[in-house]
Amino acid sequence: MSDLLAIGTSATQLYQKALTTVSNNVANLNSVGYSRQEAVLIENTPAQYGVHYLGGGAFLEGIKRSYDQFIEQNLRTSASEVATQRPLVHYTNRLIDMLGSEDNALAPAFDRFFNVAEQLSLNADSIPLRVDLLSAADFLAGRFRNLDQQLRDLDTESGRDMSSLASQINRLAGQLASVNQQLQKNTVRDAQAPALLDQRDRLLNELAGFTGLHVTEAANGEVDISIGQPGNLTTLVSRGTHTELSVEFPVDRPASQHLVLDKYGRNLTLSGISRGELGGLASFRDDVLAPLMFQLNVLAESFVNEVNTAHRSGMTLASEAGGDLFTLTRQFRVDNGSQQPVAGVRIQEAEPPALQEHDLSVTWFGGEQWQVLDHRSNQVQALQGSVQGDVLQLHVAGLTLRFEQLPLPGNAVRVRSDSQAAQGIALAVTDPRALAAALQYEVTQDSDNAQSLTSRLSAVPPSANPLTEDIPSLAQYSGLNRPVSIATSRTQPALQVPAGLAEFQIAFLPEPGSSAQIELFSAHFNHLLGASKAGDPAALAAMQPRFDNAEHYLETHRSASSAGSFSYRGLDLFYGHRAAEFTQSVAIPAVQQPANSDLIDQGDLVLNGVAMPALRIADGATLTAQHVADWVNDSGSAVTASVVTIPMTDSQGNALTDPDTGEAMTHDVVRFSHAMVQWRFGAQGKSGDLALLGLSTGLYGSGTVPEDLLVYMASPAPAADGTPLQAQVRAGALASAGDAAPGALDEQFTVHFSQPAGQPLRYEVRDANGTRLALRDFDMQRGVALPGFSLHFDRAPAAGDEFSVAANRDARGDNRNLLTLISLRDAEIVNQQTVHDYYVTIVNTIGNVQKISTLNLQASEIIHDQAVNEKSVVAGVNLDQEAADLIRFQQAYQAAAQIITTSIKLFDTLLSSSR
Amino acid sequence: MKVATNQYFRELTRLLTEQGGEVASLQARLASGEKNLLPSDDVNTAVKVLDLNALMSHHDTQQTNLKNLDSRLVQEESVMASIGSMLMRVQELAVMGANDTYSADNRRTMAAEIRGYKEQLLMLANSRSSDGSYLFAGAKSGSPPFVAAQDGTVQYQGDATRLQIQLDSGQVLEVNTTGFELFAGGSNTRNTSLDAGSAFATLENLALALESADRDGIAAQMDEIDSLRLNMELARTKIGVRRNVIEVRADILEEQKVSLTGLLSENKDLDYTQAITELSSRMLALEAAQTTMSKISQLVLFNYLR
Repeated sequence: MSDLLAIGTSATQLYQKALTTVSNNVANLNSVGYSRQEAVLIENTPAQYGVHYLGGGAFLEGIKRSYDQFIEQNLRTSASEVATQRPLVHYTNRLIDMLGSEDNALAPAFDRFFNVAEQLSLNADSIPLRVDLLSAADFLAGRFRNLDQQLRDLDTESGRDMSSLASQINRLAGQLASVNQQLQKNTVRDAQAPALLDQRDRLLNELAGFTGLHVTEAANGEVDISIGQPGNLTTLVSRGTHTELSVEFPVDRPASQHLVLDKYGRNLTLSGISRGELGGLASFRDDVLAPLMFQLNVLAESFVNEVNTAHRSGMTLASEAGGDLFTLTRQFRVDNGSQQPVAGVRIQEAEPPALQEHDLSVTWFGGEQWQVLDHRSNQVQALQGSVQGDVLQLHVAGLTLRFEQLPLPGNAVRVRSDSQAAQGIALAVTDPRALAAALQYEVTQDSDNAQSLTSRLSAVPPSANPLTEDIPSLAQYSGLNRPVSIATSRTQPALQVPAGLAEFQIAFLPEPGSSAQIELFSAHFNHLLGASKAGDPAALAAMQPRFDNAEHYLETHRSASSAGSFSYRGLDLFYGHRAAEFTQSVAIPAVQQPANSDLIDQGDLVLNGVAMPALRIADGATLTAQHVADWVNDSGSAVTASVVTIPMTDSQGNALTDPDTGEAMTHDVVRFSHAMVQWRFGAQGKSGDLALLGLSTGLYGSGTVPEDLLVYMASPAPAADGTPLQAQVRAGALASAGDAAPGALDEQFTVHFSQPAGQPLRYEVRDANGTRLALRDFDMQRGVALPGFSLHFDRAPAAGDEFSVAANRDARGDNRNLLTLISLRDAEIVNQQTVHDYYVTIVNTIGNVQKISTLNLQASEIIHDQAVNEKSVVAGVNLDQEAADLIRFQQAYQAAAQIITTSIKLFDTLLSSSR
Repeated sequence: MKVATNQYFRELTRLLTEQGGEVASLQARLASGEKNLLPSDDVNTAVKVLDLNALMSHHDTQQTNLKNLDSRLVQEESVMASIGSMLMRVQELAVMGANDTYSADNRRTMAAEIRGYKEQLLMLANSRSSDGSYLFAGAKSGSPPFVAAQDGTVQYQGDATRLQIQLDSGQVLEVNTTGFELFAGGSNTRNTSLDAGSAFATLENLALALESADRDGIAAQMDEIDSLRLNMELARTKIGVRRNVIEVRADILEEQKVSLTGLLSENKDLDYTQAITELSSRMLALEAAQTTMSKISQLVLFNYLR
């Protein structure tokens, strides 16, 4: 009602409320997240009196909360941005302090190692200096391990930070969800309690500091919150419910993490957190810490491999070959794919170890059948392993896996290597005398040489010969006995026999009458077994591509096929057929006696030293086991033969049965009885002759193979090239490259230069026994190639010059291998950089991250400060403003109170007038 | 533009603490004398320091090596000088011995003296360095290079290896003088006894020639001694050349070290003048902030509402 009293009382009440609001603002001056509240006074609806309107006073429309949605959003975004940079700055600072301080850095440790080595190079036999070098090496290894440990500690610490942040986020999300529930009671945001909205905003700001948020506000003020990478968001809070965030750390990869939402429910993987402190930590771990740990490992591994290679080609004070100077313990993890470790598997690495990570799934299908999936290249291979007793063995990717417990057939076993080189680096040498400062070999010049030359020996590490890389090697049959299909060729080798193989056997069974034969060459065109090629330039030219084009054909040690047994540099060889007691031939082929010739000519075969007579039966008759047995028994050799009937078997060894009668089929074979039956060829003998008797022809080698050899399956008739033959191949153990080559340090080589008329200067390499190993044209650039070394001269030698290369014993003052080690300081051995530069680059890279994130932090702090200021302009309490409002409302209140007094006086006047 | 009261105080406080922090860090640097307290203060400098330290330590090593090598060369040279003067005396004796005026007894005395010199020569040729390795044995420095057999002949058991060390300039310095170079003008042959040990054979032969008054023999041996002296001079000259190289190199290293030390100091040491100036200006700013804050914070309207 628009009269004085009503207006007055409503006004006083109104201004009382306004004053309360002002005092609330003043009281909440320092409350966190408080938004200034303002009483909104609105004119009351006027009453209509005829044509006039009389005002009805004022009323309180509501308490407005000072709020700007866009400023709030700005504030949250800038808070996230600032919080992202802080962990980066903090942790990169710590990393730089760790890596860049003079006391802790790796670079001074390298300096010390190389400097002491340089001092030692002046006095290579000084024991105190050697002890110094060992302690410098130990110090270096210790620094690596130390740094690695510190990095792992940082990994743990930052991981813990992430976990605690995740639980903070969960707490805030939970609180926001319950705030949402309370907000549900109203449908309009303006009707919500300001304190509730303040709390909501406060929680949102705090949460924004931890992670970048995407906030959607409903009409009534409820919020939905999503987190994650832009474009790939996942909901964290949805109205009154929230999902929990957790961080998981994979065991096998350091400094990595998975963010998982709703772990015990739907278990969603987050694409990643983009901003906020959690995002900053994740970015530090992914972009800085993990690559750093990897680089440290690369540095350790490259350095150790180079140093070890140099050290292994040196000679210790005790005149022995140097071993490894440092060891790297490489960890292997074997599990069944779901992190359960599998026991009973031993893993050995090939020497030298490859700088590669392994991630293989190996499945056994019984017997020797394996399947291997390489997870890094996603390639599947079927491989053949071997069984020795109860132990399964498999060679794959430079590893030898030995399963001492049978794995489950069909179930994959995961094998992973952990190249944590920086963690496992250690000094392997403790005895100062075992430091290999000297060279292993020494060159002496003959006194008759035309002039005195300066020579230089350099070690050549063993590597695959590119000319014969594609030829199958007997090494893969090491410990096995396998059939192999070989195509005859007079010019292409069929197999290679690697140096260091303990023994081998290659046997084949051709057609009767075949003249296929095995020829043996060394890798230096030195003909060891077979018919001479000296008069066949076409054949030599056809064979040359497999040998270095400077190599000449040598046949000094060639044995004709008829030699039977011969030996080459300690390897005993036998060509023919050799078998122990009671062996029998396979079935005698049913050959018909032709009219005009013997089946086997006189003297073509020699049995245990006795030349066999001709083998001839009645014209047109078929050769039987009995014929052969009689022939052998009448020959006068010490071997006796008898005929036995044995069941027929197929190639797998299963007994054959006659399809008509159902009975097992049998055949007659010849059994030879002698402790050692040896068949070799006469001058005209050929493998077809042995095949006529059902016997295979083989090359048998026993004793260690001294150098790489090539086996040819040749046939004199050109038309026969390409005929496939089935051979049975067996090989013994192969000495690993880590062991010194057999007898290496006792080897001695001589080099003789000669120059036949009209030919370029050539040289010949002989071993200590005078065995000619190779004959080559001489080239100044390439020098003389020796097994494991190359020899260079400052000027060309003259024809007739002689040099000898022998083990460098008792050269206690020889520092030449040490000089090689010292040269590693300036060699680009890691990623085309020296070790010092690589380390410095690592520090610089982190320094760049630090600088950029510091600048970003400063910039985002400025933006954040601006946003805070803007908010405080809109929602902050200024005491002067409140004081002015206080005065204003107080005066208004007094005035309104005066209205009441006036209306009372009016009423009194009215009352007193009616008396 | 309105400034909320608590925002105003927050800002001021932050500025005050920031300034205070800067002053404290400056003070810490002044106290320590270091430009950067931690590597993370300035990564570029920290990295440069690592590089400079590497260079410095390498220089130190090289200087030590050069000094040690020089003292070895000095020792070798003095041995050669002794041998040289001994050979000169032997030649005098040979000349005297060829002269008929001396009796058989005199010649026997001379022969004995010469044999004495042969013993001394063996000792000198087997000289050892201060750490016990034999100087003239090539790489086989662990055992005496010259060994006398029962019959008095001397065999050379060392080898012909010329050891070297490398300098960071890429130069290569020869370290040793082998027995071949000492007595035979240097050659790398397999015929060990004939060449390097022949000096001893010469002396022995001379003594025999004196005893048997074999003038032709004496003349022949004198020729041998002449060539021995020549070889010795050649070896001494080579050592002289090497010492020159060492001296030049050592001078260069010293110069480089001086400039490296300067560079290191530039990077590591605090510039006091600049730091103190900065400190005074920051302290001034801090004082100003504190004073204005105390004055302005008094100005509130509420103070006037009495």
